[in-house]
Amino acid sequence: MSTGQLELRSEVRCARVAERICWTREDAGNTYTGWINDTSRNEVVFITPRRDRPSPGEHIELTFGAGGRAPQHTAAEVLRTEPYDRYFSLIACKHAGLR
Amino acid sequence: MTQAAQTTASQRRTRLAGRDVIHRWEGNPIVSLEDIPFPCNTVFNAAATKIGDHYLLLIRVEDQRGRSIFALAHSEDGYRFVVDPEPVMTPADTEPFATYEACGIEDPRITCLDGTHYVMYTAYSHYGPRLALAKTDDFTSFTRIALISEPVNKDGALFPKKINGRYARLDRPMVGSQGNIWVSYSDDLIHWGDAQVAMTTRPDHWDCVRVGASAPPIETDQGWLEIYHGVKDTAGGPIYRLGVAMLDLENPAKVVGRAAIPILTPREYYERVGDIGNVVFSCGAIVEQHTGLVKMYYGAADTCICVGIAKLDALITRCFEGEDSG
Repeated sequence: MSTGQLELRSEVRCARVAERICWTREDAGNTYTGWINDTSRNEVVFITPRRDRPSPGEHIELTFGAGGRAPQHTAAEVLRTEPYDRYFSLIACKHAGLR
Repeated sequence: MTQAAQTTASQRRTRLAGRDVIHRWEGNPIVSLEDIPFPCNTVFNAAATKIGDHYLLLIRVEDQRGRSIFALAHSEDGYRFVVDPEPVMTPADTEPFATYEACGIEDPRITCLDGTHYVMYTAYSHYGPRLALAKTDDFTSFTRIALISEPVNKDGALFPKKINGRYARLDRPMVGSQGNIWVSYSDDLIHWGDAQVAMTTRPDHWDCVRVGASAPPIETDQGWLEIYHGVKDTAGGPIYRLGVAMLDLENPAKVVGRAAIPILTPREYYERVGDIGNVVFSCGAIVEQHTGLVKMYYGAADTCICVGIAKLDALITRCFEGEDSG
């Protein structure tokens, strides 16, 4: 995560230039949106409105390429969240695999 | 023309082919249906302003009934916006506005003039579209000033400064399916007149059927920079593109420069596919004084809002490039 706090992840990160992402809560119909901040082999960090942010331990589904021709879905578990700015939060989650 | 000059012109055409002056932000679209916290059908054209370090978009949202209303979105970086939970402006329920906003309020443009934020928008009813003007101090409550045109008229944009002591606006009265950009003036923001045609359609160009103001004019040393939209009819339907022109500072009815080619044309999936495909349509742009960059906000395919970035200097230069610039 890029907030200047201690970085705990050991995996090599790949910064993304604001790629769009959608996510849903487990067993909930609402779709939320955000932007990918960076990815690594097993993890993804994205930015989403603070008021929508999921909690650590929550299971969510991520959709990459949302709005395009071939979106990909993956289940994920939220590891931690941090403020991004006044309106947004950074969400770090662990992939549970492509579906 | 020398061989060297011919080569340069050829290389330049190759370099520019298929390229837009406007750079699309990689995170587009910045606001789409999923970002609206209340039920609605679609979201598109947005007015933009920056107050201090705070960016605001006044966005056109079409409700599920099919009427357009306005919602407010906030951002700290001009790219990532959060939309308020409720609409901030809906069609009036009191006269004289109610009759003429019965089918919705559309395509707002924000102009800050003498410390007041004005919103010029289209009031839509079964009598047709006409222009209306409101003002706000806080973007949570809006005071309607007046209905300021007869139908059929759209794409009103207030200049951010009085010109020769009078308020000035651009608008687009229609004649059949044709429309040109006009300039008119007012002493009180209510009564408008002294109208003159400013920019017309161009046969055999991308803007041959209709043109209309997009963002409110931006003051530069060379004149008023106007980002406008142009329409061309094709066998597959109309294509809406964006272009730039430079209007004289003292007499904005006089065009002193006009780009031959668009600054943005629908190319991306989100601009091609939607409620109305092949549309890019701007209602607002913000000039970042410290970087010289312009953030231009635009509706794409009447289905989402995007942002594009360009250097102000590049837009100005484009106004004075000739017919061979594409």
